[in-house]
Amino acid sequence: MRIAAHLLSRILLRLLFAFRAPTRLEHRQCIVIANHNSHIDVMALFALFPLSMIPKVRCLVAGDYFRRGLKHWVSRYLFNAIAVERGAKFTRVKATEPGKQALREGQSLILFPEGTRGEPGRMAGFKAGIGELVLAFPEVPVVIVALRGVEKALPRNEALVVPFSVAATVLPPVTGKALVEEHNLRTRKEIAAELEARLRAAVDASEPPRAARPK
Amino acid sequence: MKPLQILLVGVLIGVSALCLVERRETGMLLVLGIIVAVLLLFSLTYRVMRWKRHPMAEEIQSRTLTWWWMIAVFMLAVATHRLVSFGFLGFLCFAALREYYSLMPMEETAESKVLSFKDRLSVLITYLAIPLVVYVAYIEWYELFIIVAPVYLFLLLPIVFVIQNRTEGAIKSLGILSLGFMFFVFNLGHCLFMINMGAFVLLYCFALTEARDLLAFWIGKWTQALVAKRPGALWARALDRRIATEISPNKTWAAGILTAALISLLSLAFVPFMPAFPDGRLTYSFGALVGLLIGLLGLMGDLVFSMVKRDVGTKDFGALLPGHGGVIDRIDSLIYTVPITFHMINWQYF
Repeated sequence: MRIAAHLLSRILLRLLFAFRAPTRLEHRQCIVIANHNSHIDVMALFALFPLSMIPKVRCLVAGDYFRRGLKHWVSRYLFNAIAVERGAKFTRVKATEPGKQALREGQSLILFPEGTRGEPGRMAGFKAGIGELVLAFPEVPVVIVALRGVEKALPRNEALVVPFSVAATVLPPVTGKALVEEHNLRTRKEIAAELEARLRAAVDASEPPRAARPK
Repeated sequence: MKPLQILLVGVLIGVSALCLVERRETGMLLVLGIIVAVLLLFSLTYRVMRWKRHPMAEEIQSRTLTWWWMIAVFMLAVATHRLVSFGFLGFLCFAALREYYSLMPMEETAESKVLSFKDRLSVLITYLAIPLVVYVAYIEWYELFIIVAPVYLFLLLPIVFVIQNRTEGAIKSLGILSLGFMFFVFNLGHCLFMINMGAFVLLYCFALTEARDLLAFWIGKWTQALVAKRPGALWARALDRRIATEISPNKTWAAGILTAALISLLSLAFVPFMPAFPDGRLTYSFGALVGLLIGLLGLMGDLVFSMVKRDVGTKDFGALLPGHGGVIDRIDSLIYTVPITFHMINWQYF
């Protein structure tokens, strides 16, 4: 049933949002990080994987938001979500341990290091937890995905889904090992900052160029 | 092209051809045959160009491949069943409208604001008008079809703004919304009602418009080459009169008018196959006139949407059609030629 739901979600993405995966993520295991503006984000990111790999892909979601009801059911059973605590219950271990567990089991992970959907079209700073995951699993490739158009289709605190074109730019994968060795990054905060800078550059570049008028 | 793609395109075109044989549509079969022949020629051309390492080989190749797909899908849509035609053309209107809205920056800061996030409801309403227009055209209710967008939808949107209790940027947003649905729901939507005139009329209009786009490209190159030979001469200066350098630096009046004249001639070839209308058959002279209008207005449609693109500062409307850009890049001329062809024939023969 999960596969059928993902097939349906891909058809909807294609017809309503003109979304087309630029490349398929064929890595045996990877960490996908993206900018977060909408619930459509996670559908689009799952659509980057081949359908056959869906059972091995999990996503990290906010435990406080997806706690009960339909939200919980859809995230848990259709998107294979792992709830992470935010806010008052937050501790460093609690925040990263579920993700580490999934990676240890060989699963791929989708997460949004901003930790919130935030203001439409603006990227918030990365939380340091992504740095910790990358340092703990330096061999797993990290795929940075810049999403565009989602904030128009379904922004935060809106119930109305309106079709707009959604596009993704997938950067070439980078491993934690390469980040540590080539860029001489040591702490989890430095790693998170580096990934954030790369994603931000990709988001800015994926905006349609506002070229000056030719003279 | 991969073998699987060739097979799929072949099957799609084959199915449409079979449907046309079944429906005894000789004219459409002939047009389909000619289009396939032209595409085969183009496919051969890009192979030769690639073999000679011509710099434009890549572009011609991706354009031709996309053409194969567009022709296959379009022919299937017009050849099989009325319902399929309406569904396909309705989706075409939706895809174009979505592409147009997606291009408009949506921000809450006052200086760069084009569309506002509050416009999402109005955007959705204009999308929802498309199935209504499709239905009204399907049941052939002309009186409602011709007023539903310019009267009802046009008057409804400001009411939505009033109920949303908005003032700031309302005129600007309404302008963008109205332009969008007048172009892509109302004017492009005429292709829906055109199906009722006969699928051949639709094919006639689409084929001539797209033929104009192709011809204009080559004739433009040819006249430029002529001008480059004798740049100072009086005739060269006349040939080199630009239409709108700010919008599209290389388009000249001479190439545009010459293309329109050729399209007018090409239009004559379609006349004998036109279906019989209530007030008689299409005459050759009127066919030539409609062809000329398609030639001239196709050029204008092209330029109008170049202007829109320049204003928002982008080169292509999207990346949906490899080698062509977005949907609007392909159908921009149709937004002008479809309603005019429809109303010319409607005026004289219905």
